[in-house]
Amino acid sequence: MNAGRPTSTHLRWWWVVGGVAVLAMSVIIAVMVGPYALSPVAIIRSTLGRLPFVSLDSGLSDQGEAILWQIRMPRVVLGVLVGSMLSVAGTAYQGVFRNPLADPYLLGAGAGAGLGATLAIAFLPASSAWFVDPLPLAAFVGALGGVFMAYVLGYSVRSGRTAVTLILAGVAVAAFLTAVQTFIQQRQSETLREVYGWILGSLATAGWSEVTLVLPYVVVSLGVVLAGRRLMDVLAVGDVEASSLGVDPRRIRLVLVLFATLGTAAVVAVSGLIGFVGIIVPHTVRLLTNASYRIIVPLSMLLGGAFLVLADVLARTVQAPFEVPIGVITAFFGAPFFAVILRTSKGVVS
Amino acid sequence: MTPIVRMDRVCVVYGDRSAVDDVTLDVAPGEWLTIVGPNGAGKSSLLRTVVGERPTSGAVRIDGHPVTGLRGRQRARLVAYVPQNPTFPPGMSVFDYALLGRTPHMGALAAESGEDISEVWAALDALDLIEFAGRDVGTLSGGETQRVAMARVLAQDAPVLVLDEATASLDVARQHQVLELVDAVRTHRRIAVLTAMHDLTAAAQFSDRVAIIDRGRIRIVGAPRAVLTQELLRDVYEPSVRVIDVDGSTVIVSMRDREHR
Repeated sequence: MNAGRPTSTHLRWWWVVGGVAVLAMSVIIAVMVGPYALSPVAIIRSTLGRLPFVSLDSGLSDQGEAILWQIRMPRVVLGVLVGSMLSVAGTAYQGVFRNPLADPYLLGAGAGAGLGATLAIAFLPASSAWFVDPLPLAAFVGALGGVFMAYVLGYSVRSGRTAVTLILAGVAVAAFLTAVQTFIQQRQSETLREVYGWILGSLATAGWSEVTLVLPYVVVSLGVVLAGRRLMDVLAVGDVEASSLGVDPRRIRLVLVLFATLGTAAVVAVSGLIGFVGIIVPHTVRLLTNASYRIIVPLSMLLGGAFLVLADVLARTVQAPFEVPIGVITAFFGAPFFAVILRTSKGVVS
Repeated sequence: MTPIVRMDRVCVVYGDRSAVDDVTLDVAPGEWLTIVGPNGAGKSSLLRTVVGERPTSGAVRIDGHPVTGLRGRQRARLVAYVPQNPTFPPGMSVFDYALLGRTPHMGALAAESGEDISEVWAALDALDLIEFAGRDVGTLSGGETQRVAMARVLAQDAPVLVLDEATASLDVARQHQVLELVDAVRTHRRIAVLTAMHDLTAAAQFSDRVAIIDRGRIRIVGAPRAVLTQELLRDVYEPSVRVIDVDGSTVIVSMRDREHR
């Protein structure tokens, strides 16, 4: 009886279609751009030609095919995964902590990964001596370790324990780990440049092996946060009312933070600390649509991938043949945008 | 009639302080029971045991089920709760806010069904909020937000509604409007209403029964006229309390001594 009424609540199909279209366009643009020009028609023909039962000649030379599939495509796909994951993790953190300034590195994942990477660069021999590259592994372990420490500290508080306690514990842990990391970095100054480059983030080393490395973590984490998106709306009314609606806020928070952190740790391990994606993308989606996480989570996923892929295009073109760290690009556009959000938002959700 | 809420010898002890002491109370379906008493008498502690907090001893049963044995979602299908100052997340639409009431009826990770959507529309319709559906709850006036909170309660479709001082921060006219709204919701769905209130006049006018709680113990429970007597109120509160009859309605005020006037 109410079918035709506007509710501004459903995940409307044209938003999803629009998000998918923006993502697809960004991917095509990102694959096209580079020293060796690839036409969009050739890219689409070559992609379709790779599907089973489709026989289609892309018209590309062997060299063109190699550039498309061995260099550009893995980098773009990794960009989509990293951008989607960071945006969705940021959305989850913002929803779970009811704090619009929360980002995926809030609870020490960034500082932990930074310390892990610094230790690996400073003290471990070159990667070729290892069966697996120790740098991503160290960053991954560091990120999870940082958040684990924040949780242990936050939950050791006995009285007045709230979500804010956990945030404060995260701030303390992050400050401590960053101090340790900076100390090691200063002592081993020959590694300064490498550590610094890693911290600012890059997709330059991307290959299919990085894609397959992070894919399972990203898929599972995105799936869990997507499934829990309606519960993030419930958390928005606060713990007492959320429990009266039959939801256990602590358990929801733990599960969402756990998976958002797992995905973040995985992408940080292969791309370094790319800042601001987790904040600007969800806030842009909020401004474009409304405040229901039922819409914000899926759209953040699509637009986050698109944003990072386009940022990476700038990172590798503005100073070609040299690369600008992608974290510089996202922050250069992210920080002014963030200032606008701060000026126009209705204040921090209390 | 079988009571929908049954509090049986409920005690709540915080450390060595007894907040609720051996309270036994029943609430019938569709009945409005108000708990009054001085600050710190144990009203909120008692209400919290109905919303699921475990009492130190004794038991609360809702529709025959011990509350503490219920899972969160099962309990939320039986009891709706509105705190003193409900949270209205800025940016959330009225429809989405009312949809929160459907949470206990959905699978933990499921999306809302067509039935949930039509229940929300029915709730908005019952409270004349259809044209507000797309509005941001952060932009509503005080009276409108209370109506939206009631829409969430209706959507929750629970047979018991617990209001903890839900009107304490409102001006006298608005408080009256909200209580009328609660009464409309109650008669609309035969919801049992359990409230804590400070305004004794309002308690007298809206409740079917009133219970006076003092230092954790129920002093008396019964029809407002029988319970809210000057003698008893002076004993529980202070000697300045006057019970006045205005056109057949009970008005309860605190009067200053003559020598001070």
